Amino acid sequence: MSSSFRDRDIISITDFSRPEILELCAAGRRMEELEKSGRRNSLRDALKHRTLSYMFYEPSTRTRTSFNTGMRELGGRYDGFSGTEGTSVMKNETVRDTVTMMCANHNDVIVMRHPLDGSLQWAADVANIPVINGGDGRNEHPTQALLDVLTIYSMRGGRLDGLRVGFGGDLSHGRTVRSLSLALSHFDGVTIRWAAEDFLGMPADLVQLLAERGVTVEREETVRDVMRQVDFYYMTRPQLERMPGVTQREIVAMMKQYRIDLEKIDGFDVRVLHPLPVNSEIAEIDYRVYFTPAQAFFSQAEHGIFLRKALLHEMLGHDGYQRYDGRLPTELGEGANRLPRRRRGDKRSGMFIDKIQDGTVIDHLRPGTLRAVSDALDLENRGYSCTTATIAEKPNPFIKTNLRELSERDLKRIALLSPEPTINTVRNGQVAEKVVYLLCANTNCITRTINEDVPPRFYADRETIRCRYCRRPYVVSHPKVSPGELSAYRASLPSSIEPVRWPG
Amino acid sequence: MIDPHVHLRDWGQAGKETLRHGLSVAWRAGLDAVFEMPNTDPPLLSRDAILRRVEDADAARAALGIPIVHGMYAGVTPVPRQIEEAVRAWKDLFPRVVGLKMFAGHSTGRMGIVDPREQALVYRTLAALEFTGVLAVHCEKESLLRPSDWDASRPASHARARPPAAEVASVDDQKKLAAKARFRGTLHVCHVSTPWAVDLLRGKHEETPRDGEEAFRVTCGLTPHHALLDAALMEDKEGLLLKVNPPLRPRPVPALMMRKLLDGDIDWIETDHAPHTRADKLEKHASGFPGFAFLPRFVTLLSEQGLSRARIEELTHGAVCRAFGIEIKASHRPAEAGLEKEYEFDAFAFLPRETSHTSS
Repeated sequence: MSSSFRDRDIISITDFSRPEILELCAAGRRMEELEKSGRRNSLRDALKHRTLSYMFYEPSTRTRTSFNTGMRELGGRYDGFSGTEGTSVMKNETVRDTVTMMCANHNDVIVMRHPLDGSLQWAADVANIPVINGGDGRNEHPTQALLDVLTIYSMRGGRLDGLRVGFGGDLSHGRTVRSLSLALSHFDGVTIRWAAEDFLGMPADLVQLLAERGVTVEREETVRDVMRQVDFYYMTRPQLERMPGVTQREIVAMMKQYRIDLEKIDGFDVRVLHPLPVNSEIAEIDYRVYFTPAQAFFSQAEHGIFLRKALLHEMLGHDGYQRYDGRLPTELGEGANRLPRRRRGDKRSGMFIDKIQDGTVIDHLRPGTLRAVSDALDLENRGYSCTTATIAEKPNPFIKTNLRELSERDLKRIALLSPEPTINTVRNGQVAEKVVYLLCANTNCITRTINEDVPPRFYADRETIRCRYCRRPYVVSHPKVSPGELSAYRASLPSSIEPVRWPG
Repeated sequence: MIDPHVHLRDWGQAGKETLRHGLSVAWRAGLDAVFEMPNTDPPLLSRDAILRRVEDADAARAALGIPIVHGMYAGVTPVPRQIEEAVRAWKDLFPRVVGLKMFAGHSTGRMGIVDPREQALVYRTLAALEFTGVLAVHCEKESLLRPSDWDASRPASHARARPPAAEVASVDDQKKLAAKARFRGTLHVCHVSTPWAVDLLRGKHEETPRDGEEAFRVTCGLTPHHALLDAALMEDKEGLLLKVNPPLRPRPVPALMMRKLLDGDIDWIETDHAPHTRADKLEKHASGFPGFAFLPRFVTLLSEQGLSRARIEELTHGAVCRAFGIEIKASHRPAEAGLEKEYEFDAFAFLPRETSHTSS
C-alpha cells in the first residue's frame, strides 16, 4: 500500500490537502465497516512489532487511549507517560532530550501533547521518527479535527461540501476549533456560525485566515440563531487551564446564555458534537441532552478510534524502520531570526561612555527595561563589563559589554523583556554586524521558553512572516527597520516549513 | 560641558530668572547640557509637574533655537507613594529625568528630609523599587546646624551657623543608611565643601579596604565657589551676596578643596547655579548665586593649574555621562565673554585677582 501518510509528521491540519483528508476519511470508514461487521481482528498483525510512544505533558483520556486502542487492535504495542510526574521532565529535562530518548528507545511513532504552542513542530524537528500532534497548547489538535471531519463525513454519507456548522463554548482558548475550522476550509461552500461571549469568541486572526481560505464566518446573537441555520453544532469546553486569573464562577456566568440544554435544541434537526471532556461544573452541555437524538459526541469519540487506527495503519503499515544513531541535525542549534540592518559609518567619535574595542552593543531597548535586561544578563557576575547608557533625550537605552558573542539564551532573555533589540557586534572598534533579534510574540510559544533552547525560526507565508513553531503571524515593529531591510529579510526566509536536514 | 547641578527658577520664581534666560546663558557659557534641581516653585515632585517642566523647557529651547540638553532631577519626600511616583517618572522619562534629589538638610525651598529615620525610609523605598540611577543628596545634618549663630549684620557668621561638622556627619549618615538599606544606585554628594567629607566619602578613614560588597557607587561634585571663595570675603554687608548653602568655608579649606580636585578625588564640577535678585539677597538673605558665567573662567584656571585637556573634559563632561549613563555630545564651543552682566550681581567679582589659591 502506498500512502501519502507513510512516515509523515502530523503537526497541523493545514499540512493536509483535500484529497488527503478524503483519503483518510475513506480509510476511517473502512475501519468502521470492519468493526461493524465483526471483523475487528482482521488487521491484528498489521503493525506487529511496531511500538507507539505516547508523551502526554498534559492530561488526556480520549486521545491517548484511542491511539493505544488503535495500536492494540493493529497488533502493535505502546508505552510512554501520561503526566510528567515520575519522568525526568521533573528534573528539568528538555522536550528535545525527552523526544530524542523516545527515538533511542526504538519506538516507531510518537504521539505527544504539550502545553506550549509549537512544541509539536519542535518535537517533529528533533525526532527521526514520525510525530503525531496530540494537542499543542492553544494551537492545534489535528487528529481531533480529522476525527470530527470523519464523524461528519460518516453522518452525511461522504459529503463535506456545503456544510453548515455552528461553533459554541470557548472558541478563543481551545485548539480544536482552530484545527476543525481549518480542516473544513478545504471544502467548498462551508459556512461557520458562532455565538459566544466576546472573551471566549473566535480569535480575529483565525477569522481572517478562514476568510482567506474561502469559509464564510458569521457571528450570531444567540445559540438558537445558530441552531436554526446549521446541521452540526460543535460545542467546546471553556479551557480554564489556559485562562490564568479567571475563576470558574466567572466562566459559569459567561456561559449562562451559551450552554446547550433541551430548550436550545428544541425544534431543530441538529447534531451536537463536542470533542469532550464536558466540564461537569460548568456543564456546557446539559446532561439531559445526552439522551436525545441530537447527541452525537460519543459516536464522535468512537470515530476517534477508527480515524486514529486508520492513520497509524497508513503511517506505519509498511516494512522497515528508522535506525537511530544518536545524532541531531546541526541546524537545530541555531535560529534564523536575525534581521540584518545596514551599518552606518563610524559615528562613534565623541562617545564618553566606555568605548569598546571588541564586544557587543545591545541597542534600542524599550524605555524602562534597562535594569531588568542588565539584571537578566548578569554580565558583571559572569566576568564581563556591562555599561548601561542612554543618549541624551532619546528614550531608548543601550548596553555595552565586552562579551563578544551573546548566546541564543542571552538574546532570548533580552528579547523577552525588550522585544526586537538591535545587536551590534563590535570588532576592532568598528561595528562589524548589526542585526535585530526577532522572537515570536505569541506568549505561549515554545520559542520563548529559555531552557528549551528552541531556535526561533520564521518562514514567509507570502507577505506574512510566521513563526515556524506556533505558526502565528509576526509583525516587525522596530521603527528603524526600513522597508528595504524588511523585504530583504523576508526574501531570505523559506516560503514554507521545510523539514530539517539529517546528517549523513 | 555639562553642568549637572543648576537651579533654573521660572514659574513662581520667574523674577529671579526664567527658563529661557537660564538656558540661553548656559548655552552661551559653552554648556551642552544642564541638569536641573527639583526645588522649583512648585517643586518637581509629581509626574504632572515634571511633564509641565518638560513642556516649558522645550518651549524655551525652541524659542531660543538652541539644542541644549535639559535634564531634571525628581524630588523625593519621606512619603513612599511620592517616592514611587518619582522613581516611576525616572524609569519612564529617563534620560529626561536624570535622577532623584534628596535634601538631607533644609536649603532653598521646603523639601528637607532632615530626620535620619526618614532618610532611611527613602533609601529603603528606593532599594525596594529597584532604583539604580543617581540619587543626588544635599548633605548638611540639620541637628548640627546652629541657626542662633547667624547674624545678618555679619554675613560671615553664616559659616559658623552651618559648620563643616554638619556636612561630614551627614555624608557619614548617607553612606551608612544607603549601605544598610542595600541601596543599588549611585549616591552623589552635591557641592561637597570640606576635604573631610571627601575623605569620608572615599573611604580613606576605613581601616580595611572595602571589598566591593556595597552595591552602590559614590560620587561627589565640587563648585567653583567652594574651591576659590572663602568666608573672610563675607565680612561686610555686601557679603550677603555670597551667602550660599553649604556656606563658603574659612581658609584654608577652599585651597584644600582645590587640591582635592587636582588630586582626582572629585568626580565632576558643578556650578550650583542659583540666581536671586540683588534685593532678595540683601533683604531676604537668600542663599545661592548665579554660576554659569564663571564656569568658563574656572576651566581656564584649572588648565593654568596644569590639568590636561582630557582631565578637564572628564571633570566637566565624561564623568557625568558615565555616572548618569547618558551619552551627550560635546560641542567644545568657546564661551561668550561678559555673561556675568546678565545678572544683578557677580559673586566672583569678590575673587582676589592676584592670590594664588592652590598654594597651601
